Amino acid sequence: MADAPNDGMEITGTGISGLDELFEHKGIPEGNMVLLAGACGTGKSIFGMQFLYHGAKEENDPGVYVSLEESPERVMKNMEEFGWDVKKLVDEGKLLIIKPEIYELNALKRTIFDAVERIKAKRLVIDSFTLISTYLKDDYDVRKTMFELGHEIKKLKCTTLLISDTVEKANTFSVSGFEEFIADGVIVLYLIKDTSKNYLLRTLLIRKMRGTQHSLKYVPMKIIENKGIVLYPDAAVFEEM
Amino acid sequence: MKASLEAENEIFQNNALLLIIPQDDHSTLLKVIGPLSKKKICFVTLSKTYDAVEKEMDGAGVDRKNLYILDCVTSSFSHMKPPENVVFVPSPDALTDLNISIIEILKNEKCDYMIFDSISTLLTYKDDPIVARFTDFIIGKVKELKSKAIFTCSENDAKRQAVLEISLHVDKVINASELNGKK
Repeated sequence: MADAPNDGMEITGTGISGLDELFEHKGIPEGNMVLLAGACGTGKSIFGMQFLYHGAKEENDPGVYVSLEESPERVMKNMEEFGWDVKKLVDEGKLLIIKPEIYELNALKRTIFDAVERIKAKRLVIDSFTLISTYLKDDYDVRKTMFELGHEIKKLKCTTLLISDTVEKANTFSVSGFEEFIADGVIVLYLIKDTSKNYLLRTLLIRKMRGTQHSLKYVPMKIIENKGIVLYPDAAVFEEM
Repeated sequence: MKASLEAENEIFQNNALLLIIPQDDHSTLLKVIGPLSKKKICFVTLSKTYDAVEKEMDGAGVDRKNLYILDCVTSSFSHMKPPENVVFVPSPDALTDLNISIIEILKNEKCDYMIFDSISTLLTYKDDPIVARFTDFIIGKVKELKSKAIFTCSENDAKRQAVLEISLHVDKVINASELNGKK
């Protein structure tokens, strides 16, 4: 359970083991829109699913998962692989997984907003925000649309994760390089290869989070069977990032 | 096999020890472990498989129920699941994985001692500054978790920069000759 700060700000516990303690108030300020960035295979979708599953199961926070790539059935199957009883939460109306059409932005927005309204969602994950930009015609259009969409998502007052696909070793955390500025927070997931050996290491970094102090160190992370994402805040990263 | 009483006291009294042993002298470490046979031990091996360590620990009288082995070797050639009380680390130089596993075992199993075998092997994989930094970090964690640490090092590496720095971070450096009752 998250610790409430004195100023009345509510806190959302992420359900990611080891993550909440990296924030001053043991979680993300409620209503924050957070960009969750990382290259392929870094665990972004699992992070998003775990965030919603924890909210629905442990915090009584209904959540909407907007999957723009995979079918809801596939998303559910992915979640169930961790031993999470997703169907029960869906049946209880605490979790809603949708796959709206993406090519018409207003229809997409309506579908998302209706879904949030339908279950009175307090958590929202859009997987992936990046995909929306691929349907826009130029850089100006991407920036304008992302700004407007971000602004409207904030009005929903959900604690939101916008999943952003990046390329390896990128210095930006989104396709346009703009989303990180409109987001209240940026969490980056890394999958690094040790220069001398044939193994990969996962780490997480909180780049930014409005409304709370937070750790600025790279934290080792694992994806574990029957648990999901686990962070190790007591451990240190010795590989070069 | 028995360590001298004085050396035995050093082992019990200090939180972090660096044990300098002659190359190819496998008996020295067992002399150290002998007095610890009733303690809960986390044994980190960078060069031996867990079953080889188990046999050695049997010889030293360590109860396997009190022994947790971090094996950095086996998973490089085998996909087997680790047996009970054994954790596989992908490689001896997977330092992040290694420190995660050490911390988890010390935290969860409340081990009395962490034996790290060895700094010399680590120095074949990593440069001196990173070995010194890693060891310093582990010493801090071991103390924070109210455990004790023994790091082994071949005397051939005793003059290496990393070992000189580690000597400053441990509470005591013991030479194998002291264990044999010599000064």
